Amino acid sequence: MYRSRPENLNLLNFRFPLTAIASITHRITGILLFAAMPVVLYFLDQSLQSEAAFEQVKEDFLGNSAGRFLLWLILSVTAYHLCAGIRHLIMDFGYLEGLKSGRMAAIVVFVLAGVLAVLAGVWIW
Amino acid sequence: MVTRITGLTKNGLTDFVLQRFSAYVMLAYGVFLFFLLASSPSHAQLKETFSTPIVQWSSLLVVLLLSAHAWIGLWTIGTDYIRERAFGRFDVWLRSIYQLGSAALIVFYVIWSIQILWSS
Repeated sequence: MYRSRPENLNLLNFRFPLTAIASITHRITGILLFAAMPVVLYFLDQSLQSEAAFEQVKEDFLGNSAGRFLLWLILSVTAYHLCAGIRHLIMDFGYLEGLKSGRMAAIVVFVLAGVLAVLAGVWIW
Repeated sequence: MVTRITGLTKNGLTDFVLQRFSAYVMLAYGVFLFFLLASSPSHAQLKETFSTPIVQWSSLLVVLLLSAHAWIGLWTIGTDYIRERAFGRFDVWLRSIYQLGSAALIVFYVIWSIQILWSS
């Protein structure tokens, strides 16, 4: 191996391409969704338990800002993972695989997920 | 280096197809869930919906496909990052603990889901 190869380990001027950021975000949101499963299951469990438990869990999630924020976070993370996933499904058919189109698709995923996150916020609040 | 390829089905292509197939099914179920929640159902309506056999069984199918989807995703992430390069000689131990923990959580989620789906 050549010892004189250029090295750049300065993380401050080390930039990941947008497509890489889109990819890692897809992974992170996947892990977050997996971690959020107990919250979702608890929500469903309580909603089906009884009238009183239904009202209580509704109050817990929609009656205060912490609950609302958690719900919004789960919906937004779902929205991103969904958009990025659909991008993958489109890529399975051979589209959006080029340098330019791939970058463009990554931007569209971020923008679309952002719009959906705002809409989720409007829905909850 | 990861030398033993386990994944879910021990075959990369099958895992790949399963990841896609489960995604399509979850997408369809997600649309159903969205419209259900958007109609702001009462407790009685929700209970009625989830006590019909078709909803119970399709929900269970989604839970199982979701488990496969999550496992393949978590396995991929684990084998990508928990490696010798970053964790030295503890990589196999750490990755095993991570995978066991993931599998245990998945089993817990599945059992809990079945309990929810068939208790109402």
